[in-house]
Amino acid sequence: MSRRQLKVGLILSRYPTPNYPIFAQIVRAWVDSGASVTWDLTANMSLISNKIKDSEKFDLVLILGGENLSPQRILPISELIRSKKIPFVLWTSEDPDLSNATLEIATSFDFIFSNCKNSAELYRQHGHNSAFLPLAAGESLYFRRALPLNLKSWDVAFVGSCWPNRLKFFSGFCSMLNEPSFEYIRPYIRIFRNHELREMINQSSDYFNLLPLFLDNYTSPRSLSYIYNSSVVSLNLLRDFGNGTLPPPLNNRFYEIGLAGGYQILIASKNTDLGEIPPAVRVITADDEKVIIGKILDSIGSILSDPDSYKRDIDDTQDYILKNHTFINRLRTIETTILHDQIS
Amino acid sequence: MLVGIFDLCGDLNPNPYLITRVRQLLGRALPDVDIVEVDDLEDEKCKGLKFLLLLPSVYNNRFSLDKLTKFRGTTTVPVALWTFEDPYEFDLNMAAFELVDHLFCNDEFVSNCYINRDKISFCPIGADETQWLVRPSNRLIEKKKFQLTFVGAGYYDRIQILKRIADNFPANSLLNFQLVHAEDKCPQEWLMKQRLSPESLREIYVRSFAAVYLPRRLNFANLNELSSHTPAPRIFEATLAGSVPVVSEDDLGVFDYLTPGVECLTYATIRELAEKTSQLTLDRDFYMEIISNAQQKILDNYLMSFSTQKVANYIRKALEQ
Repeated sequence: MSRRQLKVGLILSRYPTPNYPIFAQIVRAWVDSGASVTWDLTANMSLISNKIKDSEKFDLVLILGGENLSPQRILPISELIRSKKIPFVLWTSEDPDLSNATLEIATSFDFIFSNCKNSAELYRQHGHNSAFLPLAAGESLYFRRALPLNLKSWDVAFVGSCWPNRLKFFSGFCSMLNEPSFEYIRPYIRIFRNHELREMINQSSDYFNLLPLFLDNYTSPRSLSYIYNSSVVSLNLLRDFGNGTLPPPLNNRFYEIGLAGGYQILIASKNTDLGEIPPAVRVITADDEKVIIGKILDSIGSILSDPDSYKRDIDDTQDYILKNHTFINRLRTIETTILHDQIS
Repeated sequence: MLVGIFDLCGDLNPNPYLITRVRQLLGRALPDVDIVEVDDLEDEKCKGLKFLLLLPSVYNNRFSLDKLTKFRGTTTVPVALWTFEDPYEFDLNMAAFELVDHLFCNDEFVSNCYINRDKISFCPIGADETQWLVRPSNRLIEKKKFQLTFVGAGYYDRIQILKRIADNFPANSLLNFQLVHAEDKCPQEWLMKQRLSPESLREIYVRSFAAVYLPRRLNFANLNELSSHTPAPRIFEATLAGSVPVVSEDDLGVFDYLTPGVECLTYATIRELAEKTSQLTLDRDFYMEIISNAQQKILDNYLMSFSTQKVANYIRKALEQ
């Protein structure tokens, strides 16, 4: 039985933003899956509002992000969309950092997908419809065939934004790598400079050894995938939001490293709910940095001792990500949750 | 059949030779088509066009999206835009994207940021081998004078790096830095009074062992802070002329095009840059190996004629419809 085409309105909550490429991947994925998509990057969401006012029909309207969504901004469009009986959905990408702000506007939405399992639970506890839905990896940006071990340029890599826990960890880690006994390890570690970083450096000289590793510009996703692909292991140190309430969730780097043909060492909080872990991921949950560093080195040693398993694990992980964690997978979840698979 | 090509930057185009060569290569790829230069969409000759190619940049003072909107509203001429300045002018190009039938994007990563994938092709600019290729030889090595060269626009961040190089290379190093429009103070001898012709530029690279690659960081219409991935054509031109490309290990996009240690050299510190370029001047075999590998890679993969053929194929298809 053929069913009608899905018609979607998609809004990016903050624009411009360095996260724009993720939004573009989501729109493309939805178009690829056969939907008709109207995307709106305007500050007042006027493009979709005007279409709805002109009686254009949508099966759902989704806001991606969750930043900059004050009640004043979201209420008018929420009332308009719901007056037309169109499901209005939020997919957050910055939880748990913005969970409290999201709670303030949660009644404006029919459903909230959260990138954080604990935040989704929090919204449910407050009586809102909510489910966990992590971000995913963009295939055209990240996919690369795995390299054999002998073609890797670096042994250990990390590129990411500056968060206090990362600064602290990498300051210790890089000091260790400078010791003569570890000079054989080829690292590629870079941290994006931002205002938090300047503040921390002003407060403490402990981080001076990281100064050469700071980048003023973001690294493009295509270049990130090159790093993950060209490194024996890529570190994924989940960021500590510092709000002391909820543990950090899995980030999209978790999927991106796998899709890029990389092997991941995930350094997570003991409280983080990790779910299914594919074979090319080793998880370290420890509070003590020296213990973490020791476990990273042990992991690299055991990985290098078994190149056949290494390649097989990466290939299996890549297959697993492609099958379960691309944006098309996520959009299917949204469709079945909101529309109960009414349309193709 | 008449195809128009519109250099939107006109006299402001910093590299007009690229446009000239694109026009010549398109003419070769479409021998049965008359290619005419357009400099105003309201010009009478636009009415007879069967296709219009815009390039290289929407940002200029003699073209506007309003004019393009009007043109699209009053004619049925298919229009394509070939960007040379993504991601630096992404926001403007994205606005233009809505108004054209197809966009050829110079950057592989950024080509994924335009949403309608049916209308977008990745099309790196590449280098023209007839203009730039000088095969290495012992005779030419004898003529080489400079250990390291950089020629380009004097953006602030480039000047900072060049100053660090000048301050930290051994005193006897022969460095050749030439900048247009310097955005910060720099030694007077680095400043060019005018842009060099491609022939003069080629001669500089012929006489250099290495050329340092310094991508621009200036983003004046790229509010999303997108970073480039595909290297600018200058690195391919310099290499074809005989300068070994030397690339910071943070400019990772280059390594998808030139393999580190095989077709280009990488550096993490200024000291490493000095050591590796010094080795090029002292070890002829080392120089010959890297430059030969790099030139062959470019000749096989990154020529302007390959990119132009892609555009020509699209134009041909549009003309046949």
